[in-house]
Amino acid sequence: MKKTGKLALALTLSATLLSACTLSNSGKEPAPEGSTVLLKLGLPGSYEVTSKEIIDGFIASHPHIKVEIQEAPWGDFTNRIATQIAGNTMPDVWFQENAVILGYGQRGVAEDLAPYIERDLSADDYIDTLFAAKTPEGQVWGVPHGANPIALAYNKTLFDEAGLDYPTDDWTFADLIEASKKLTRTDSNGNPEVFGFIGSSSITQGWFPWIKQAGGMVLDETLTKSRFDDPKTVEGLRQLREGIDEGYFTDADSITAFGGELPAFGSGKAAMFFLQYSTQVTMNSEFPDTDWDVVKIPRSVDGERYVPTISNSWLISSRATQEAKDAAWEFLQYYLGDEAQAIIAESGSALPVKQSALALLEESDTKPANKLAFTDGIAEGGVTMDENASWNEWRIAVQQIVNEIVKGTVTPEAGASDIHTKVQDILDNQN
Amino acid sequence: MTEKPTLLKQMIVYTLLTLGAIVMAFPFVWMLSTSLKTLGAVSQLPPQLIPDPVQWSNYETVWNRVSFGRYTLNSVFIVTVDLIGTLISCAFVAFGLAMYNFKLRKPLYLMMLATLMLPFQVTLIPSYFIWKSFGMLNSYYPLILPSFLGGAFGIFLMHQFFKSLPRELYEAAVIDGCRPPGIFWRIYMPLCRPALSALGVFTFIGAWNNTVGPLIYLQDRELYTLPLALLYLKSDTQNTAMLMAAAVIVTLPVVAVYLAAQKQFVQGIASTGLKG
Amino acid sequence: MHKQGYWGYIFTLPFLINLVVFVFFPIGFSAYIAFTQWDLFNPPRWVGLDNWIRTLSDPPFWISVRNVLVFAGIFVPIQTLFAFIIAYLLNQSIRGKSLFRLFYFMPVVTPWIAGGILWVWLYNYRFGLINWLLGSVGIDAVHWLDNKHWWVVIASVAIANVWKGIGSSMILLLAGMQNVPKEMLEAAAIDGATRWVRLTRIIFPLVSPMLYMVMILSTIAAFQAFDVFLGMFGSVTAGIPEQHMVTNLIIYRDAFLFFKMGPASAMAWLLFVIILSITLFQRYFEKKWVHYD
Repeated sequence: MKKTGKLALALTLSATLLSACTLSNSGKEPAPEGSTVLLKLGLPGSYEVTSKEIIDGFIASHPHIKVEIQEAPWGDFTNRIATQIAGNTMPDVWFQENAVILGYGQRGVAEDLAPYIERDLSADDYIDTLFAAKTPEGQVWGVPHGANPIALAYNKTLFDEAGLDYPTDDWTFADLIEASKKLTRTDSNGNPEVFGFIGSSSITQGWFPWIKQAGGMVLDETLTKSRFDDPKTVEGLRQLREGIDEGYFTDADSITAFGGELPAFGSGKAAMFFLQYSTQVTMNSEFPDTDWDVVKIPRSVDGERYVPTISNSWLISSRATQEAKDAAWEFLQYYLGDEAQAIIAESGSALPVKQSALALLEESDTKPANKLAFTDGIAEGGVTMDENASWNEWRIAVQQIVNEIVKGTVTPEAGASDIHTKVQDILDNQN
Repeated sequence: MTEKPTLLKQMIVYTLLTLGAIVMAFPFVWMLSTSLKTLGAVSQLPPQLIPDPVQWSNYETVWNRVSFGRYTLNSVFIVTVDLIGTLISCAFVAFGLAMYNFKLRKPLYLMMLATLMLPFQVTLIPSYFIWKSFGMLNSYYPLILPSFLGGAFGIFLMHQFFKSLPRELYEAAVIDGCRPPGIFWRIYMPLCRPALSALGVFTFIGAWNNTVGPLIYLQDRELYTLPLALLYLKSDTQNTAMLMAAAVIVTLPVVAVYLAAQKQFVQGIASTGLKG
Repeated sequence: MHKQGYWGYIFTLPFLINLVVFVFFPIGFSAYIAFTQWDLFNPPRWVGLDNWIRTLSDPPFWISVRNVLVFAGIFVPIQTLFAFIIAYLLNQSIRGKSLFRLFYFMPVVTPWIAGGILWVWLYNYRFGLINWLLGSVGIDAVHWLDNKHWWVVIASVAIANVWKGIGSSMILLLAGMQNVPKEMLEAAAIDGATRWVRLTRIIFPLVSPMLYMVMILSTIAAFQAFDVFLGMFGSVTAGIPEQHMVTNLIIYRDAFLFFKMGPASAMAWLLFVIILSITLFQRYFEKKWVHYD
């Protein structure tokens, strides 16, 4: 055993020294010469997520840029890109969740696009979501690949059966709760047959909107302090919990049994749902016969409307050569131009951020009929979910405890207090 | 067993085994059943075992949506090379460990066992650096070259097998004028067939389902393997039925290989001897 | 053993290369990183013992170690025991052996995409099959995957993992049993030994080396379990409670989602040391119950 130990130790030590050398040698390749510029474009999810038409259109209209496309699966993309970043082989431009981009920005991975935007774009042509990746300090780490707001989807058939009027844009969350109570039906055995509303515990469709509508806040405006000590925040969580507890919102077990939130809504097991824009595609392909429509997310107690929006954002690698960065910006400009944005509008998988393209959606003839709920909704109240560089960390910490609150193992008050400590800790360690 | 067990005992044995078999196979059956459903039927309660209507088109849709044909060929290629490399190199190395006494022998054997315990997060990024420095990213090299360097599990297995063969075999070969490489290749290898087929099945399963390797080392779509096809599909659809269809397509070849090798397989491990 | 010892070096050369390049370098690398803060992008920053101290004093880390130990403690004995029983039964002269073996091996080849969905559904509190079965004999439904007692959750995942892995162990043990000479058993039977005596005095000792190998392999597998937890709990971002996390998941999350390679490497090292210790521990007891002839 001694021999093994010595041998292992010796080899490990030399390997350790070797590693230190490797890391300090991770340099860049020199820029290519010539009039054409090479642009390495990363596409997670490939053409399923980013329209081929847009890419082809860009390639055709920019002959001096040679585009090398790096496709990647969407699932587990994090593994791939993390390894590439470590090995310095990442593409010049790619996209990921907006919050991740903010994290990149803080570490220096992303190029600050604020000067580029100021120079080449007119902010009025776009909705505020263009600046989803903007920090309170004014840097803009990315531009949206597509915006995904939520809206209140409702099943017309179930409303008719219960004899209720359809939801309107003037609804408040109190109206939502009232209606859910009336829409919930149990069968003869006391088992729930139809739920009023899908009580999701996720951040986008669950705790974030519920906290905001009660007048509470998650983080403060500087995104450095937790606001989980605000009683209104606790109230929002409490209302969500109450709905699940009293049975007019679906509970997690039922959702699993129904095969997911979307199948639950699509197959008529729940009458209302905070639907994300992108899922309308699945609704139409898998549940074409359901009679449904959308209205804007109901107003909060202070009369404001908060429309949580997820976006994926493009970023330009800060380590790319200046030529590649310029080429990447040309691509992003093209992407934010009328032609490309119109294609995005048509695909239905995400909302464009250019106003002109949003207007096109008013003439769409696929379900949901009332797309204004999304387009006007996002224009009126589109917000990110307090995304900052440490978003992934603190929102997981929140999620862990919200799951307990929603299940009822922890009271909203105790849970919120616990969340407050944990989140503040993470925010304080954000270096 | 010599005496014929009583009818009652036999019935108990059969019942227990059958119950167990149902529990074991049920998820696979469910997977098959779901793969043929429409999405609406997936969430139906109580769940139906035989779908109605049966949607065979799920398979066609899945096959065309992601180029399954191409990916299958890629997987087959990689796994075949991996198999050849693993079988030969593990036997080669194990032969050395089993037949010769040299100073590094014991430490080497123990370190081989230790490699089995490495968590993948430890090796992932450093390995990436290594292949990057060789300039072999976006190729099949990272996935197939290491198999020619022997793997702990395979060496372990083959080592047991070699030790169970009689020593006289080696002596006889020496007397016949054979040198060690010849002894290995011409005398011992042909006797290995059962053990090799055992190792082959385990290697096949591992290589066929390997997701992380192809994910980080393969860039061009044409190079992708089947598990990556599953990942792509997950991004493209929330349709559980289609995901199950894809999962069935990925799993069936493994079942086929297992069936083909089954008999050799059980015999194979038996002949590695009883030493643990 | 043969005198031409140097041939040993020649034959084992490929593996030596393997060890240096793909084992020692990564181990050394992650050992180095464990003493730094590295976000995968900027150069690593030396922080000395910081990561180690923080990890060792972090309650979630110890909770995850506890979970992994309990998981292994439930998984290994149950899987080994049941695999042994099934192998024993399938070793009798019964019809349909191949078919049974196929069925018992199915879970090994079923990807966790399918297995995970199914087991989550089986464990569902309201509509799951298990609670339905319990209800039909008058037992109250149980929260399997979100019980307020963490060990119920860990045990549930362990059972699902048994389902997945039992086929492999069974095959190995079956082979071990088939090597028991029939003549020995027959002679014992003629001498009047009962089934039980034959099992404990003949079969068990002769199969014990294989049993030992199966135990070691299962233990290592239990500590490295990753896919089964993701399959049962969903993704890390879904907010798996601290009480249910295992070390492997924390390492992955910190490294790839939070870009904190330093602490992640320290944890991976600690995990490696734990696995090593337990294996050595098992090796110590090996002499007490494993029979080599």
